[in-house]
Amino acid sequence: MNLKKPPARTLDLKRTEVKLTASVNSNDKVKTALFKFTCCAGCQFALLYFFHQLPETLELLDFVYFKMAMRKELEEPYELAFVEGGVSTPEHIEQLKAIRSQAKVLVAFGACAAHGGIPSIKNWQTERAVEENVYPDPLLVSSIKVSPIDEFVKVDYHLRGCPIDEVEFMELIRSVAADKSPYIRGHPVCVECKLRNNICILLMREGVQEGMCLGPVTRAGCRAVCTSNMRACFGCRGPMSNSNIPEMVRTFMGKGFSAKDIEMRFTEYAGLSAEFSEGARAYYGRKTPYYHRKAA
Amino acid sequence: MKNPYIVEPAVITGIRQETAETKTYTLEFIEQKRGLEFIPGQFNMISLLGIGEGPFSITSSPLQRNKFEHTIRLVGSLTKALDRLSIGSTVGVRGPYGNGWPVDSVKNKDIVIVAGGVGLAPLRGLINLVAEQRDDFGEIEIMYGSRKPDNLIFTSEYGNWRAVPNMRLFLTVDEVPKGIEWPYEQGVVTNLLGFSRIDPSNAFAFMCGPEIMMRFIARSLIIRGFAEKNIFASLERRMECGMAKCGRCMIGPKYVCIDGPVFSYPEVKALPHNLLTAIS
Amino acid sequence: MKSKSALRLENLDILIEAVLQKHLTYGPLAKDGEYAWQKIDPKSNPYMGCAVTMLPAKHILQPVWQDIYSFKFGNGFQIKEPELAEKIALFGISPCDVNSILALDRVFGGRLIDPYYWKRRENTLIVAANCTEVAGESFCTSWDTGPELYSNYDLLITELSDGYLLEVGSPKGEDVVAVLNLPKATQDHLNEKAVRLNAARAATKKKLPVAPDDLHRFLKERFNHPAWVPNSDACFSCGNCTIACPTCYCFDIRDEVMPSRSIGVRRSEWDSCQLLEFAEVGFHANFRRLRIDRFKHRTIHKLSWMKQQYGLTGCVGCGRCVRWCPSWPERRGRITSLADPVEIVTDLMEPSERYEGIERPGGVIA
Repeated sequence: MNLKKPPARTLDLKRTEVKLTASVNSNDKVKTALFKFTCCAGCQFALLYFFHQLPETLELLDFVYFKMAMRKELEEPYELAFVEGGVSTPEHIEQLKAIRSQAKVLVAFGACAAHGGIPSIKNWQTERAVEENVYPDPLLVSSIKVSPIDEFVKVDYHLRGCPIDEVEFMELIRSVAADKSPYIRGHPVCVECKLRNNICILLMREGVQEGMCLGPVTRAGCRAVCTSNMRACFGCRGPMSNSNIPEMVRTFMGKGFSAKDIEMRFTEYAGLSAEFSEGARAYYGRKTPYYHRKAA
Repeated sequence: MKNPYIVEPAVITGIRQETAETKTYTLEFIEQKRGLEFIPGQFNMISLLGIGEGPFSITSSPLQRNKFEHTIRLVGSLTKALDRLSIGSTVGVRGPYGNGWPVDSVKNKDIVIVAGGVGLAPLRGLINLVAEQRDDFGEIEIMYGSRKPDNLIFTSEYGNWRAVPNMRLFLTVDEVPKGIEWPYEQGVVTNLLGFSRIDPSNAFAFMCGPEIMMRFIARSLIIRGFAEKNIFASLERRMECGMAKCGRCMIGPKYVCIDGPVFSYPEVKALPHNLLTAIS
Repeated sequence: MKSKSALRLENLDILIEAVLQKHLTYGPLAKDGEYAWQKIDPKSNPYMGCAVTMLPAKHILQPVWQDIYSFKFGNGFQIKEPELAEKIALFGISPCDVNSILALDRVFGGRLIDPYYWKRRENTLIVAANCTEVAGESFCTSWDTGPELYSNYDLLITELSDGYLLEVGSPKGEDVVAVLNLPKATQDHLNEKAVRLNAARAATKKKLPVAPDDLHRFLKERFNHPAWVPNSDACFSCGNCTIACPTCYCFDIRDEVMPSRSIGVRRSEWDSCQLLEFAEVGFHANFRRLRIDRFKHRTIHKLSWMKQQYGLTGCVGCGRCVRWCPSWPERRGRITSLADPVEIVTDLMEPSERYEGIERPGGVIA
């Protein structure tokens, strides 16, 4: 296998002549490609919906590859790559590294690319059991454990969430076009939830579906969409910047949630992150994960 | 009621490269009548609308009113965007904020100035003020340390400073890369205090740099006989409003933006978190 | 405050209608089984008791998201300030919250005035309501910030056995009630108010165990007390206590550029000292990286430093931090809220030795 060495990644999108305040004045569009690995493609679909809402955003991006929306085959070069979905076959790794070598900015697009997402639930069982469940003849397939893409390549920015959030996406593309670092929230969902004057559902509601809220340890940026609609946060955006997982487990235990519930809630979307896998094992401890990432 | 959040447009009239990642910008308000009156050690909030705003100390001499200078190191989004600007670009400025160095109380006194890295920036205005009003101050010693020789800022002015009577400049770097000639000292900036010829009993010491450096400097100064109340340090904190509203720069009950950034040693000692005093 | 006229009010509806005529009116309304500050209309039924609402009324004076100004690029830049001339009324605000607004007045006032807060503040009509009952979380009596409000209101409502007592505290309040032609209240009504409020005071069992004037010294002495360690270990750093706090004022300023790329806004958003990113500077240096430092900062700032800075206490005993802390409340054999200042002070009163040997995630406290 002969892979290209990634070039030095200085983020210079041909914006040398800058007058006043903003390189955003430039009319160059950012050539963008969107790739999909193991996921449901829901984030791409959500993206189409954002475009429907905000057609002017296409002023910033020039898509050279976007399978769901365009017939065009991949056309190089591109500067910005969105990668959706986790890695689950050996071929994915090769493709991912090729994307990295081409893109100046690589963005993990959605929960699956950032943390493994829903497909990562299979990592908590043997691969054989998973294959036997799905395929009539498991000997014909060769799958591997799902991993987030930054397991293999350097990721510049993460757009977390299942699906991604419109405001955060807009912030990212505007920032990339202006060559500044986007404001990606590191604080917990609790902050965004409270700012919206919501009643705390972790405190006020009972039951697994209604009150088992991961808000205090999950990264914000979703505009508290679930909790604003009286649904518990299920942690799709992964751990916040300084999460206190032992206390989250203790709180769930105190409320009488079962070990199985706690494990399932932590492993639903971001069980591969160091923090949430700690939460999944903290109380239960029945089985250790086959796959566990070290803290970055 | 004037809105203190509003920035005024200022034009970049000069850019000087200090090091690979540090530049000095000369700014002039577009509205010519308005100069900037400030005390050395104070800071301005500089905005690039659309990118953000940040606090930067004013590095020029306060005697020069119609234009002022900022020495800015490349750190984040805002400084990166500033780095791309050219002469003639407009930025937004509001200020000055903060208390500045206690210039009035050091008249006719000897001063030891200790700085590390880009920490010399808030002290340059003071040094140039002393140079311009030489008779108003006593002896001045500048102890300046940096990581490497090419990280030193204001190198073009060292000759002028050395030429000022009774002003002495001592330099040190942590490491000298191979092949570079370095006639001055090597080691931490604390070592330079050994060269001091100032009588510490009635002298003042001003310092700015990384907090760990200032911690050791303060300790050495006290051992050498400086009075604690005569030692001043300029602290760095994150600031977004500059006027004690946003709450970011708080250390204990003090706001760095209005109570500081220059604090006397006893003031710092009274703050929680034992910043400069942990080892002394 | 000058002489007050006391009036009799049969029902709140006529007062609500009178206030609504000229003001955008907010009040504590039921939301999802709790109370929250929302806009009210003639049909709504604001809660006049001790409502530990999610967000305090400060979000009306200092909005969560506020456009500081909008700007336009071009040759140089143009800045446009927002216009804030709307008259606001806070209907049924509790005494503790009025006291918290007095503290915010000093924060946003001072040498450099925050014009946005003050424009709203000057246009605000305060229709306060004394608390004839006090919520279990509240300890306003410790600061004397409740259940009775003595001054700084435009109108003050007290619930009586039949109807309400309405006291007028300012010409602004006078203007509102003048058209209603309400009958004067009798001495009996005033007596009943005193009886009811004294009963509310007596029923408030929760109390700060240290005298307010002594707190500064108390906390200074105990800055390195081991009780901080297990307390902050259980903290999520989620910021709920600060966002729900009526005297917390910190905010973040960010620029947003519109997709058209020639206009943008500079916007503020509430922020919290409990968040890791709050004090972060360049190169990811952080002056309050540890959870314990942030936990201490909030507690001591509320109880002591804010008094040093502004002369008014940073805690009004409303009980919001107590109510909305998501951490599981059972610890060390007590049912406590982690963010509860009373509980923290109680822990700090214990001798240090009691904490030695307590197990914590990082090991044992030596």
